[in-house]
Amino acid sequence: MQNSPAVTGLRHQTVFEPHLGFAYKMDANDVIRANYGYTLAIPLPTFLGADINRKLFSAYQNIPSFDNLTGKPAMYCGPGQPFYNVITATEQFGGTQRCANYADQLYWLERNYRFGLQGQINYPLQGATFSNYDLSYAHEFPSGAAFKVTPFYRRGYNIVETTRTLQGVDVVTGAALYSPEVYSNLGFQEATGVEMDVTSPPRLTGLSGQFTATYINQFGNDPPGNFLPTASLLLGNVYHSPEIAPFQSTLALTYKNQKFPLTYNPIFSFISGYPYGTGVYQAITYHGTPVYVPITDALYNSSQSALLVPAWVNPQNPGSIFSPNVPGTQGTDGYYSGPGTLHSSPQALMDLTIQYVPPNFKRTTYGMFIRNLFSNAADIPVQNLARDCQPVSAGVCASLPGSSSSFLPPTVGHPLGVGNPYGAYIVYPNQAPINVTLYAQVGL
Amino acid sequence: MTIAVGTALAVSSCTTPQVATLPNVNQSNIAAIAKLQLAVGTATVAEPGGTSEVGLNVVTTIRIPGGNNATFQNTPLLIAPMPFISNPVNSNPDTVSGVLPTQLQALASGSSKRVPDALTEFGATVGVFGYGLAGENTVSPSVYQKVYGVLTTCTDIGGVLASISNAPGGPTAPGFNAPRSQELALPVFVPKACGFAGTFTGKPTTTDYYGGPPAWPSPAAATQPTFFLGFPLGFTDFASHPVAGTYQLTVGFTTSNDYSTWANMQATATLPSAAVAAPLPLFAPPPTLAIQNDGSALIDVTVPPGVTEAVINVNATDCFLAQQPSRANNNYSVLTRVTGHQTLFLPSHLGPPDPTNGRPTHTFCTLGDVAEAKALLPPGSVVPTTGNYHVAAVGFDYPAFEASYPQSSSIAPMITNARGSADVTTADPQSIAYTFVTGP
Repeated sequence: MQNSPAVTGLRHQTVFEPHLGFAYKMDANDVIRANYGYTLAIPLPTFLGADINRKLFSAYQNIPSFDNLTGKPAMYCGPGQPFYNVITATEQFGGTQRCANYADQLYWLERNYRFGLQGQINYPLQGATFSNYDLSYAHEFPSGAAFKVTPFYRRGYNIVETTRTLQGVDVVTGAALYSPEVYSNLGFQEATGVEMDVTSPPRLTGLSGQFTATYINQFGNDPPGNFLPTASLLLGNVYHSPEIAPFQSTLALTYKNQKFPLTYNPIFSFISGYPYGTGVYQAITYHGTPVYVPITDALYNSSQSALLVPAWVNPQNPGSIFSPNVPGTQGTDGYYSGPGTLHSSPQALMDLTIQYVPPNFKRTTYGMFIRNLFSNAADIPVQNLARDCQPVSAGVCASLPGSSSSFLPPTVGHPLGVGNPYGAYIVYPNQAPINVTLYAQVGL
Repeated sequence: MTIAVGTALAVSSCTTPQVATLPNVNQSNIAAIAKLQLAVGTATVAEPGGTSEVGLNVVTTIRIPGGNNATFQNTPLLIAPMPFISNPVNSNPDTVSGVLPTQLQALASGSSKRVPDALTEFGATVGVFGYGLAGENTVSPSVYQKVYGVLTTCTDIGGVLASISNAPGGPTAPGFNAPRSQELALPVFVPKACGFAGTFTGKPTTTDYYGGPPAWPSPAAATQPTFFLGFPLGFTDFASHPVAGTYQLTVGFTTSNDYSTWANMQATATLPSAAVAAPLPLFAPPPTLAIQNDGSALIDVTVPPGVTEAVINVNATDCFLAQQPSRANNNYSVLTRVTGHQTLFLPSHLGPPDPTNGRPTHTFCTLGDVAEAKALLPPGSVVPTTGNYHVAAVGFDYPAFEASYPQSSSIAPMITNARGSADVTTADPQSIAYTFVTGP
C-alpha cells in the first residue's frame, strides 16, 4: 500500500440520455402531453479536487521519516482508518503503517488530511442521474383563458452529497468543530408533485392575470441545518427537503384603466412554510460508527453542553449514549423527533407595480415598484446557539440580565432577532424588507 | 432604445419585520408532577484515632414519574430544630440554604453588598436531585465566576465547584451548563480553615461516595458519558449533632425563562427520639484490602450490628498506565447485607475499557499493565509502578441501595427504616499507596 496510486476524484463517464415526448390533441381546446427524460449531472470539478502527485515530494526521498512526538520513524502512512492515539488520548483517523521516507510521510500526511475520511465511503465519484416523468393536460376556454395541470415524478440516483462530521465543540465559544468535507454518491432524491397554471388573456383595459400553484413532496438526504452529517448519509436517513416549501402559489394580476392611464400589477405569493428543527434524535458518528441517537448534553465535554443540545440527561443516572435517561428536553422538539419535524409558519408576500403613461407623451413611463409590501423579513427559525440561559426543568431555560452562558460577560448582547433570546430557536430578520423603487423610462 | 432612471427607497428601518412563529415550548408543571421526599436520621461518623461522633443524616429525593430528577437547578432550604453551624455570621444557625440565582446575580452586579451565609452553605451549585443533595445545579458561568472567583472556596458544600470531569481520559474542567458528577465531600461542615463549621468537636476525614461496579453498573462502560463518575449513594451526613424533632426542606425553582415566577415544594421529616437515643454503632475498624496478584482484592470488613446493608467503596488508580497520571481514579463498590466480620471479593477486571482494545482494565494494576504501557509509549517514557486507593465504608439501616439509581425508577422510593428514620454509620476513610502486583 506504500505505493498505492493517488486518489482519483472523478472518472470519465458516458451515459445514454434518452428523452421521449408524447402529445395528443384531443380537440381544438384540449391537449395531453407526456414526457420522459433521463439525464446525467456531472459533478463539479471542485469535488475532490485534483489528485495528489507523489512527484511533488520526490526531493525528500532520501531523508528518513521522523515523528517528532516519538523520536522514531513516523507510523502514520498508509490509507486512513480509525485508531486510538494513546499519547493524545483521542480517537483519530489516519494511517498506521511505517513511512518509508520523509517524502512518503509528507505524501500520506496530505493525502489522509484531505482524503482520509473519504476512505469511509466510496470514490471516485460518478455523475448523478435523474429520471423525470411528467404528464400534463391543457385546456383553453372560449374566452381565451387557459389552464394546465402537470403531475410529475423525479427520481435521482447516485446523487453527489457533501458531508461533514461534527468532531467536537469548542469548550470556550461553543462553536462546532467539523471534519473536512467528504464526497460520495450515496445520495438519494425523490420528488412527486403537481403544477397548475391558469392564465387569462391580456386585455387593453380591465383585469387579467395568471395563477400558478405547485405542490411538491421532495425527499433527500439533507436535514435542516448547515451541514449534512456523514453518519446521516451512511445510515440512509431521508428527510423532507428543507429548502423546498411543499406548497407555493403565485397570483399575478394586471388592472388597466382606459380613462386614467394607470396600470396596477400586484403579485401575491403564498408559501406554506418549510420543515425545520434539529430534532432530538440525530445521526452522529460515535467511536467511528454511525448511529441515530438522542442528542444529549452527555455527548460533549463542554461547559455549555446543555445549550448545544435538545435534551438533557439525568446527571446522577445518565444512562448510555444510545439510551440516555432524559428528564427534560428544551421543550420545542418532540422527544422522538428527528431533524425537520417542525414546520415554519406560512408566508404571504406581495409585490406591487404601479405605472403611469401620460396620454400625450406615451414614450415615457413613470412607475413605482414595491417589493415585499408586507415587509415580511422574518426568516425560518434556526437553532439559537447564542442563548444565555441555564436549564432548570423540562422546557425551561432561564436567564437574568447581565448573565452569560460563556465565561465572559455578555458584552456583545443578544442577537438581533425576533422572539425570546433565551429560546431554543430564534428568527432572524434576514429577508429583504420592503423596498420601494421609483422609476421613469423614456423611449428614444 | 429606452433610458430608465430610478431611485430605490429602502424603508426597512422604519417598519417592524413581520414576526414568524417560533415553535411552541412545552413546559412540564414540575411542582404538580414531581414528588419531594425528606428523611432524616443519625450519622455515626468514625474519626481518626478510633473515636466517633453522631451527626445528622439527610436523605432526600425529588423525582418525576419514571424516577428521573425533577429539575436541573433548584435552591434548597433546610430547617432543623438544632444548630447546624457553630460559627454563623449572618444567618440562623438552624438553617442551611442555597443562594437563589437572583441573589447571585445581584451580588455579581454589585446591587447587593451583603454576602449571605447561603453563599457558602449550599451555595449556588448544591441542589436536591433524584437521589440526594449534589453539587450539580446549572449556573451562569459569568455570574458564578464573578462571585465565587473572589471567595476562598472549600471542598465541602458551599464551595462546590462547578466542574465536569473528562474522566477517565483527563482532568476536570469548568462545567456550568453541563451535566456533572459532583457528589459532596462528606460529612459536610467539618471544621475547616474557611467556611462554616458544624458542631462536632473532632475532625473526621471527608470523602465522596460514588457507587461503582460490581454493586452498580460500571460508570465507565463503553457507551457511558465520560463525565459520569458513579451512582450517588443518596445520603448527606452533617458534622452537627442532631436532636429529635421535625425537619423541613423547601426546594425552590423558577418556572419561567426570566426567573419571574417560582415554584416551591416542601417536605418534612421527623427524627424520632428513639433514633437519637440509639444510633448505629461505630463502623470500625475501617475495611482493609489485600490486593491479589491478578488485580483483584480481598476486603476484610466488620459490619456493625443494626446495619441492614453496607457499601464498601474503593477509589483506585486507573490501570491504563500509558496515560497516567492524567486519568482519574475509578470507583468500585461492594454491597453486603451481612453483619459481623467477613471477607468480600473485588474482582480483577472491573476497570473501564482499555481504549486501544476495548477490554476491561484491571481493578488494581499489575506489572502486565506496566509492560503494556511501555509497549504503547516511546522508548524512555516513564510508566508508574505504584498507585493508590482510597477505601471508605458506610452502613445503612434503610434500603439505600434499593432506592439508588439505576435500581429504582420509582418517583418516591423508600428511604426510611421501620421506625421512620434513615440512619448511617461511616468508617474512617483510608488512603493507601500500593506497589503494582506481579500478575500479567
